[in-house]
Amino acid sequence: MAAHAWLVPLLPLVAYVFLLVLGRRAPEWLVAGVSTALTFISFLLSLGVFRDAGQPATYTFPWLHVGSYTLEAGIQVTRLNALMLVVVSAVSTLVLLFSKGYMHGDERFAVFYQYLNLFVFSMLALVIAPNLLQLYIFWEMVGLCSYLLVGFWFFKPEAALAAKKSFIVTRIGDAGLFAGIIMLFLASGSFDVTTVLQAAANHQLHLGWISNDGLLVLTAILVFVGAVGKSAQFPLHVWLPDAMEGPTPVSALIHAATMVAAGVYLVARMYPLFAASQAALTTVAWIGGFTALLAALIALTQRDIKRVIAYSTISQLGYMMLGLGVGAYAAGVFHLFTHAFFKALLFLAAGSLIHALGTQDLFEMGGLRRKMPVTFWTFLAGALSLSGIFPFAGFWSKDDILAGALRHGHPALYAIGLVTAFCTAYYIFRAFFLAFAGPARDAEKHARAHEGGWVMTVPLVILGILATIAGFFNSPLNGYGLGKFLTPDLSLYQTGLGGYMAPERADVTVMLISVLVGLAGIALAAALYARPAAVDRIASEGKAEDIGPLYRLSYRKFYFDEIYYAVVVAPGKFIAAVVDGFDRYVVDGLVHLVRRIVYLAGLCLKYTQTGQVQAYGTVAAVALVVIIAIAMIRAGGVF
Amino acid sequence: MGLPFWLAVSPLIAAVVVLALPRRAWRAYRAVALAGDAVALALAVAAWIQFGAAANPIHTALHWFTLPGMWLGGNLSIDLTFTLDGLSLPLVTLAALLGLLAAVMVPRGQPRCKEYFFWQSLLVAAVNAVFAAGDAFTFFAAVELALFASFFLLYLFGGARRREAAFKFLIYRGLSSVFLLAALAGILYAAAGAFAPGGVQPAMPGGPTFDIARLAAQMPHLAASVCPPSVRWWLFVAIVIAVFIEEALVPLHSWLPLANEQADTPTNMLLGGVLTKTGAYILLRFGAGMLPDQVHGFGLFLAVMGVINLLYGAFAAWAQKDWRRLIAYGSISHMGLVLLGIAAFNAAGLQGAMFMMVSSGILTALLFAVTGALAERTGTFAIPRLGGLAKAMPNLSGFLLFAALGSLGLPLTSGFISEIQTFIGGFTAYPAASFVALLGVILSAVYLLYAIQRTTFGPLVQAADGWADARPREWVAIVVLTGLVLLIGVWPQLIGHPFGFTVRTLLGIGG
Amino acid sequence: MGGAGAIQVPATSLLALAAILFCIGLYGALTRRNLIIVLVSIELMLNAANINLVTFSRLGASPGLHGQVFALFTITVAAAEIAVGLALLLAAFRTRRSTHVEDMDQHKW
Repeated sequence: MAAHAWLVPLLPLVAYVFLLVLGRRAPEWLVAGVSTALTFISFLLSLGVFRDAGQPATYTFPWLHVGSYTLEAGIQVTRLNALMLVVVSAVSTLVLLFSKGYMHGDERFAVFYQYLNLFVFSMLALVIAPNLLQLYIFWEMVGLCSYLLVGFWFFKPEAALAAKKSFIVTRIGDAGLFAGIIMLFLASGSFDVTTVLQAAANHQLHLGWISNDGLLVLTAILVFVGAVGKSAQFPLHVWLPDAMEGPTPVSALIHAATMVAAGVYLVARMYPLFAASQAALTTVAWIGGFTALLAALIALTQRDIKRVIAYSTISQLGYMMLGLGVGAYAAGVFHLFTHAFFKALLFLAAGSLIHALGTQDLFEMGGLRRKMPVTFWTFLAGALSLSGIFPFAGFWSKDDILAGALRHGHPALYAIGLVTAFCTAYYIFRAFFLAFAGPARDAEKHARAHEGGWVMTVPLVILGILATIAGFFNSPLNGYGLGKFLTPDLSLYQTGLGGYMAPERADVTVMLISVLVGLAGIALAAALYARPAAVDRIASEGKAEDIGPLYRLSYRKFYFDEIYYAVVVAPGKFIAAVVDGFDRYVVDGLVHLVRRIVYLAGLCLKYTQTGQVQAYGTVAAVALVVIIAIAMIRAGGVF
Repeated sequence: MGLPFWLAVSPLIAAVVVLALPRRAWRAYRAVALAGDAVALALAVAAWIQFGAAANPIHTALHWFTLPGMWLGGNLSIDLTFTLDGLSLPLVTLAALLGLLAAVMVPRGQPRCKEYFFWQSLLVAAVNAVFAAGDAFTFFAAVELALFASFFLLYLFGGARRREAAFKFLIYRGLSSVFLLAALAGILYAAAGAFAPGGVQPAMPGGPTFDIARLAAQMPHLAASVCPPSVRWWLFVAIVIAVFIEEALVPLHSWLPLANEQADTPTNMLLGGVLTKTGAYILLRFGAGMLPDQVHGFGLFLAVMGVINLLYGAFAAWAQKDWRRLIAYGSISHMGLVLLGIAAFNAAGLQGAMFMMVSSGILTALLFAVTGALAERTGTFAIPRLGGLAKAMPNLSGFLLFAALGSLGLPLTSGFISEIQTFIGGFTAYPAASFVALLGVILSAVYLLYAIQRTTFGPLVQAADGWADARPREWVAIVVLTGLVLLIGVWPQLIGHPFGFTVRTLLGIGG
Repeated sequence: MGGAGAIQVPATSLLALAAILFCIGLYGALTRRNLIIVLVSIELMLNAANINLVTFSRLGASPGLHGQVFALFTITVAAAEIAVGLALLLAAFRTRRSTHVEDMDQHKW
């Protein structure tokens, strides 16, 4: 089946080309139908690939000769890749279906589907890239699709700014990845992932101008910089919340389930490289942990439902990084797996709310439990999963990570994770209660609210089921099946990677603590937002009255945007203005100075041209005499 | 007469025919110019087929006259020689293609169209000859012809300050020609042994020659007793100065933004697409080809200058308020990468530099074509006065975005494949400079997307009455260039094949 | 050539004569204001050259007819020059009512 894996990304590409040929005026049912059907076939194929995944299978053909080296293109199926294929194609299929309802009536409906198909193609191709160059190519392609889709409503100035910001901020990370890939190529002589990882695991990477150990750390960090950009980790996390300007299905697919997870995927794919240098792993863990906490703290006070979920995404991606960083490889990937489902679910449910109400402000919602039961129940499933409540999917994966942090001796990171878990449960249930509980705060919008058609509810239900049960893929109940499935990928490179494998047995105490922390968060949210007595307090918060400095700090996102503007953007613009001024006034000024000097010289010399023939004649005669005299003296006399 | 000869001469014939035609409609002049350019392009394509997998250089020589006698140990034959090898074939094809597309892009109501098409055809003939020239004499003659043809295009047609721009262009590039002439003559004398410390030593078998291939075979291997290192250093300095002006490299670049700002769209396509690439071509042909040790020795200088250009161009582009100036500075930024690639002087770096020349040529021309088409409708190139054009002209806006993305090196465009090869070369030879150069990769996204966001995104700021999306003549140019950007991006081996041969020759590996 | 009774003049004297004549002519051409006198002075310088030519053709290192032929040419050219020069002078006088050299300065800067 692995030999046919190339069909998986190809089918969405076929859909893209088909839609491109159909043009902008194609009927909506055809556009959505073809896209969903082809991606669904991709999903079925992915399942086949996943079932047969074993030893890495690579198929390549030559692409470009550079000197004596040949760049190749092709596919590679490893266990991790196969898993990612399934996740991406599954979520894609559901989002493509959901979008039929959400984007109904948009004048660029067909264009939206073109972009989405292009994205699905790029993402699937990214996942099965056999070499780093191809990985980078599709890494940038998904970034492009994200840019196009965030800026889909380009006529909104906020969307235009958000699209630009998302591209540029991720580009900073990409530059690091770019350098890392090139250095890995130079050090190992190949772009091929297997070769590179083999060399890294055996400490055979070598470059002339840096020590071998330094090179390992440097390249791992550079690759991680790319992951930081894509997965919106601190300090490059600022683009993801703004990217919520895009249509909500885009947020669900790209900015929750797949593209932003590509950073985590990259770290997992290059895991032997990271494993070879403790410093890099520690960096990954701490950046992940810090990001998880930071984003969770910001999410506590946001009033835009999509931003709450966006910060939640950043926070959860931080969790995954934390898991990978502390050495819980399988747990990190597992959390990516479950997160894709429950976060896509939360976004789609939020999309359903936004579609119904026409607002994203939580304080204009409220009391929707009866009006939108499907959304209510599925959102609840997603929220419980995110909060890590037994037996939902998020419980198993999040617990895996926390247990891993303890088991590998990182109590501080465990504590951070626990605090984050508490915040997570609180902010998602705050959003939940604000949206569904209590009275309707905006009667007019409330009156219009309704469930979308089957195209919107069916994906919600399917994702709801997945968010509930996906955790059992890697639970003690099946002996940590997913972890056992994944770890042979790593054993290829290093035999001593036992520490990275899944735990042998469950730690019930850790599980219990996690669940209790989650429940505490939910209880606090319920106390503050669900009790009938809280109505006045919510109203005052909705009007942003008497909020404390800490609340403001969180609400203003710790002023990261402002700080970055002052520290990076403004100096950049200043340098640009200085260079421009330098160019206009110094470089061109010098040119004009030379021109003026020549002009002035001419101005002076022109007075020698009196027009008097006899003056010219005199000068010529005197000069002749002088020349003859000099010639005679030099020749040593007349005779 | 062989194929490369007609490649250069057919636009020249078109120019003469345009001149000879009685006063007629726009249509007749355009037809003649298009025919000449089309023949040239067809011949270029034929040359690809003849070049083939075996990479046979295609060579024709037209003997002109001989300086007889005992001149440096033999007769000096002045010929018009044209050679297409791995380096010149892609570039001459680019020149011929952009020549044709520039003629296509000339608007219907072009005033003084007879003169216009005459000078344009002459310029196309000249740039074709620059890249097809097989000897130093033909090369220099072609450079001079290109100089004054483009001077008249600038002087007669363009914006309000076109005269100033034209004279600045003429003086700068005229100065460059002086250094180029000195360097070429110096190389000829040096290769013939005229600078031997112990008096003239006829070193060239078969007498002195202008032929580039023979000079390149001879020059790097001359013993110090025939050609002392100090002579080489001076020759190289002259070449570098000529290159910096020709290629508009900081700090000798200030003619380019003004020229681009004042020239009209077809001229800009030729100016930005081809004429600014002659500098890098000189550095590869006469620098890397004939004085490899000096390029190597000056490597750090070239690399640092490359990075300075990359960043300077990018920052300056960020501050521009006029699309044409922005594109000009973007082109300067690209040329910085070319310099870095050449400085690295390894297979990846040299090939990357060659790719970047072609890629930057196509993308610059594409950007000029699209912004020119937009400006024809909106009446302005000024970024602050544009906005929301994607609403009124989705197709043109889409192409503008594509050109920008190609220009910032998005994968699967020609920009990326050029960039990665250059950086592979750069990281091998000059890691520190390459790390700094990464900032340029980020900045290119900043200045291009900043301009895009303010041009095509956001609300529409002008009334969009009667704006048609692209017209047929614009479609041709834009679609062809877009297709090429994608073709090279997806199938780089197309031009990697001929370039590879030249790279191996330059580095002296294989055949 | 040169009968027995002919007076033998040394070449030095002849050359000195030519030099003096030339200097007088030069002085006149550079200082006199009247264009006619300037033309006459130029004639003097031409004649000084003629004397040199004839002297060397007779008393030079390789005597021959070349020098004398040259002198004849010079006389012819001088005659033509005077004709053209006087015509120009007349034309200039008609337009500017002056034959002074310093008035002929339209070509200054």
